[in-house]
Amino acid sequence: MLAVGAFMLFAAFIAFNKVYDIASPSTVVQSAAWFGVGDDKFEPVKVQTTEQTLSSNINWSIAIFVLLVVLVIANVFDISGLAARLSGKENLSGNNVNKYIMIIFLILGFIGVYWEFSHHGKYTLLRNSSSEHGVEYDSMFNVTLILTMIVFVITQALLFWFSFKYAKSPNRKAVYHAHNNKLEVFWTLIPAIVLTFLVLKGHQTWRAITYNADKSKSQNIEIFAYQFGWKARYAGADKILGAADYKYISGANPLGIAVKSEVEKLKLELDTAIMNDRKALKDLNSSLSQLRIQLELYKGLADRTNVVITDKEIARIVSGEVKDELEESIRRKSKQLERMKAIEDNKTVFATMFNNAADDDVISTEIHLIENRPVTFIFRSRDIIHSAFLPYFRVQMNVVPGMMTQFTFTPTKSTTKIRSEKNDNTFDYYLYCNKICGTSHYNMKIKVIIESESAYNTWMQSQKTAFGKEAAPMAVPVSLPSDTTQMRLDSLPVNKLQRLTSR
Amino acid sequence: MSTATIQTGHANHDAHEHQEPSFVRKYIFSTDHKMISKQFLITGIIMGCLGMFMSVLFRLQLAWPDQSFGFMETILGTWAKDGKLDPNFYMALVTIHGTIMVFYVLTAGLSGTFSNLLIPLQVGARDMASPFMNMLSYWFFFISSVTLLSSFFIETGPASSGWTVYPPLSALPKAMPGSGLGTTLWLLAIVFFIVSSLLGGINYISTILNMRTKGMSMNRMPLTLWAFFFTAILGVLSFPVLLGGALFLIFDRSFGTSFYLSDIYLQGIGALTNVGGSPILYQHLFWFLGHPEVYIILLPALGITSEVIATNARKPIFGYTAMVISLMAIAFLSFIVWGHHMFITGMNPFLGTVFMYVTLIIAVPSAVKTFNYIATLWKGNIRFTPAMLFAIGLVSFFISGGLTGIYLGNSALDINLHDTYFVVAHFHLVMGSAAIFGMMSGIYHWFPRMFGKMMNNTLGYFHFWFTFIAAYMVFFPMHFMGLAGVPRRYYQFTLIPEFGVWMDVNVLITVSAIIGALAQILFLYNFFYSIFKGKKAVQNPWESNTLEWTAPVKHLHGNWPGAIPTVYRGAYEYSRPDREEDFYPQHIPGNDNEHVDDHGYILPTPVRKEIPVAEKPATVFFTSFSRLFSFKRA
Amino acid sequence: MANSIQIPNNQKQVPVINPALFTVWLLIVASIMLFAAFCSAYIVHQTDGQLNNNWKEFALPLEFWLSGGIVILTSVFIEWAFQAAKKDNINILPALFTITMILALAFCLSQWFGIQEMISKGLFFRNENSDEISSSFVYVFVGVHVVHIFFGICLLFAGIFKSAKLKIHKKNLLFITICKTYWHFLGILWLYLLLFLYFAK
Repeated sequence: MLAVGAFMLFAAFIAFNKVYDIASPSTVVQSAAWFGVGDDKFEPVKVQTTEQTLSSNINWSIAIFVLLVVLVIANVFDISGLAARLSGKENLSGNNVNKYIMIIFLILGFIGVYWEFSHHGKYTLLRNSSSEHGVEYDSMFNVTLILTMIVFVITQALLFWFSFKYAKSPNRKAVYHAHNNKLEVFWTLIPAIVLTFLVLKGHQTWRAITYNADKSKSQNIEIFAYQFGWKARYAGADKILGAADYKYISGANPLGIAVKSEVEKLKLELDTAIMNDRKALKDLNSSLSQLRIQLELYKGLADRTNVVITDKEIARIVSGEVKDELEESIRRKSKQLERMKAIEDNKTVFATMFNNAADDDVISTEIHLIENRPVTFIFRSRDIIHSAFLPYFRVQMNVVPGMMTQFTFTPTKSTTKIRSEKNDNTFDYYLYCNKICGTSHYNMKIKVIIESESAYNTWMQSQKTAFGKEAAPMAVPVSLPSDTTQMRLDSLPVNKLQRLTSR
Repeated sequence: MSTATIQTGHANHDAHEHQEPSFVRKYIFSTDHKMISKQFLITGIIMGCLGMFMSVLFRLQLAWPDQSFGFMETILGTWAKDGKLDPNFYMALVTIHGTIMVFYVLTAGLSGTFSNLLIPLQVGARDMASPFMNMLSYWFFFISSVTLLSSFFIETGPASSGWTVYPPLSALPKAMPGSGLGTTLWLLAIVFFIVSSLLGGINYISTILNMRTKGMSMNRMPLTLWAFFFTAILGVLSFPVLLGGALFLIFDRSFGTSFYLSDIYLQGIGALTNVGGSPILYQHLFWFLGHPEVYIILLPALGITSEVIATNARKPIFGYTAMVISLMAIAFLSFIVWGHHMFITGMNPFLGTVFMYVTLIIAVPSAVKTFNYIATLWKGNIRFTPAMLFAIGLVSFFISGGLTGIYLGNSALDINLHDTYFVVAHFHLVMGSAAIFGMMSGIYHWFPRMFGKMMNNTLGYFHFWFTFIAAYMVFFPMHFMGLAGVPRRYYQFTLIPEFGVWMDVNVLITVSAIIGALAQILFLYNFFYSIFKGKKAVQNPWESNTLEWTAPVKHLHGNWPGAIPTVYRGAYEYSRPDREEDFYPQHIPGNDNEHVDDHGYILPTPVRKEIPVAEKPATVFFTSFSRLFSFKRA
Repeated sequence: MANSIQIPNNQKQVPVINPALFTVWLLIVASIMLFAAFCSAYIVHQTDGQLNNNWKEFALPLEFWLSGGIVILTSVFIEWAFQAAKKDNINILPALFTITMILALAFCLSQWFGIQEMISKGLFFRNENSDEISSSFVYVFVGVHVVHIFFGICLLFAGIFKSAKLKIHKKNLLFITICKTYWHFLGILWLYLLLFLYFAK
């Protein structure tokens, strides 16, 4: 048993060491060496916060706590086990030790919970809402928090207290008490009543956030998500977000806005690409022999990387993978062209989509919003599901390809205000991606700036339109309720088009 | 009566012409449920160790994102160039960790092990309804495990779009490396797994309903059996739906259909031809399985806990009927709440309200279960075996994790908590840690039954306390990260200045996770050492009531050498006042004067009055509540 | 010995259904859930597609209705076999099993022709136009159902051998009951799918 104790001590010591290292960068090297790593590559990440020293001390105390617990268990066990062996009675020492650890755990656990709330609780966003509905959200949260914490404390206390109190004693028999219907009815009804209250309040909050949002008065902004970034599109001087479609996306037109000149360019591009693909398909054999000649050349060199690459390329051609890819590419592009043509052929749809509304749209890499003015985000995804997450505004909505989603809210706290509140001049709101979306998921964000109307107008004037003729739009009066959106128009959706435009 | 004849046949076979089966028939392609349960357990433990090791790897990345770990490069090669985890591989680790833990450890390893071991032994049957299907169930599970793990050895790496593998990310091989061959293997593994679960689940239901011994009416069954029964029903009803969802995904990936795909432009490829599909449909199909799956994981653990707590508190489980009804309620409700995983997918807000209502109702049966566990401890005579400690730990986790479910089930609160660390903390406590603790409790409790040896108690105590404290230290601080809006599945937080304050918390969590992982070495040592060198177990080491302790410890096909014992009473007759010993096994014939009430309990009407009540303030306090409803006395 | 157990009067006798037959019923339940998932997916896509005008309605090929007729015939023959076995009329069993199996193969053949008919009409499994998603579903329904039929044919094949060895008779009806239950289920399932595809518009 001593060996076990020593082993756990060692584990705790390492833990202790690691924590200590983070607190003081000078010893970082040791811990890196413990993991068998060169020390030269390591640069400690130091994010300057006021809580830094405090929280480092906290980790110290946690490590000491672990150490103490190990010591207590190890010692008590060895002594009591020995004593029991000497006396020759029924060995209840393990039972008694566990009984006391139960009560110690209860007390230390509650201290830990309190400590968590007092130290980490302040980093949370409670009481710190930056949007109108966030206040309601927070009150819902606090009610739930209070109720669940009461239940938490009572049930955990009873669980561990009973474990302590009724631990085995040799001269006692447990009470035969199989059920008590009244008691069971009682503790079925109480949770039911509490939950009914929570459900009703939750429903109220949910309704306030989703059902009752007045979309007619809000400014529509399109938030466009792609692997791995965000773009915001503003309506421009005509206050109408022009139509857009994934089929129109090209290098020059990353959002696929319905602008005639761009679409014509894209058609040309596609035509050329198809021609190139066909040519490559025809020349497959000759390129194969060329690659083989190259391979012989590379084999003479000391550097093997080219050999590997060329080998792979040859294998891809031989297995027919390249041929399949090229054929697939031709098929895909022809289909795209065909569908673009179908839209052109349908006069009604074409006229509604290409009504020049998109010409003055502004595409931005920052989201600027006006303080205390309702805004509706209309989300569109280029490739896969993303999720737009604005924790400070209590806003989150999935961004689904092929499906328009939206969220209406009113930001109430400007960036300057939150900076002064947080006492941090570099702070900025961000919109994060919160649905796993690939390699750079962790860095898919866009800055959100909440400002006054005049600051917003100044910023807007400095922006350029996407493909329009004039350099900058006029100052944008956003309060007009006539903002209309036309988006995501499929090949022949006349009825849907009517639904969209009649709104 | 065909079962009876079959059983007689078995008995003859075992008694007269029993011969030692070949090694392969006995240990590998065995049709004996006890051997199959051991196979499930050992495979589950191996998968569990792998899953845990993966979690340590990505926790190291989160705690020290800019540090390089030489050993990683040694193990992982190009996936950790210069000792730093590749972002894609981080995703793969997260995905496979989730898949392994949810399906391979907590579904197959927990439910597979203990359903196989306990169902025939506790209902009093010679073996499962179909031993052959049972064997197939294990081997499909084994093939599935191998398929999943083989994806680590391919160039593009394993599936890495999260354990839920949402399309379009998982459906487009070009969207990320893991969505290539890795996801194909993942889907294949899951199809095998579903076949395994269906074969197993069908067998469990069939055995429980049809092969109970004389006197084992449904209302005398131990709660473990009830839990396994509902688990199997959940599996049979929900796994086919996942199979449907997975088939659609396979068609989309490999055959060019577009059930889940629509309007997609991929960088470097261009506009895809797929139109008309709906990615949200996959989420509906997935979570229609996914939510019952949570209870497929949790219910067996709760069943095991009921048995262990009652046995070790030497008290009847409090409110047997209420326990069964709440199991049933949880099982039923789990089928109509899947939408709470999708509150923010842009679904109709009205549906959000409906799903919130039904989701929060689940808290009621869960609360009843918790209170009943606590009431079982009250005035018991508690013996802290390691199994009992783990059972108490489960109840503690069930409370902590269950309460945060009330936040997440609320559609309004979910807006800001969805997919943050709050969710991670919630489900790791309530279904991860709680179910693992249930599994550990079961292993410690039934180890003598499985291997005929005892495990070392002291090592068990160390194992429990280190794991318990470490688990709380890992998952409790995560709630606060979630409340600060820290998203899950982020490779590192250094690029976002706002999250800098959580760096030291990440370190704390990682250190605790490493301690927790190291503590499992104690368990592994104890487990494997005790199999070979452990103290020999007596017939009924925990003085338990249930039938499995009447069968000989010796490995015997057919379980009982002679007749199967008959059952005379419910499973929880502990500390009966009219008995000398504090237990009263199910198979011992009782006196004729006892009155059996409608749920298998002997009504101690004359005895109950002798129970010393109203002595201590606590007693007065508790009974006062029940008197509230008793108008006669007032 | 199990048969020497004294059963006390107050102990309830546990009802016995044959576990193997019960297992088949559970498999049927699982299969129903699978098709329920497919059907709900169909309805979801249909509603979605009709809103977006990219859902194509088309008449099912006649071959599928023909196979509906064949599947009814197989059920008739397997039921006949069951009744014969019940009356210990075991000489005709191999013949009845064989006829049922030939009919089952004919069913597969008519499904194949049905698929060919769909391909010739330009209704593919692979999605190239938006409207074809409705036809993809038909392929899935047919394909997954035929996989079920395959297991059924294996059962019938075993049945031929068993009945030829005179192992199926009045006192050993288990196997033929399983066959019968499963085939009736397959028949009802296919008829249901046909009606579902016909009426879900």
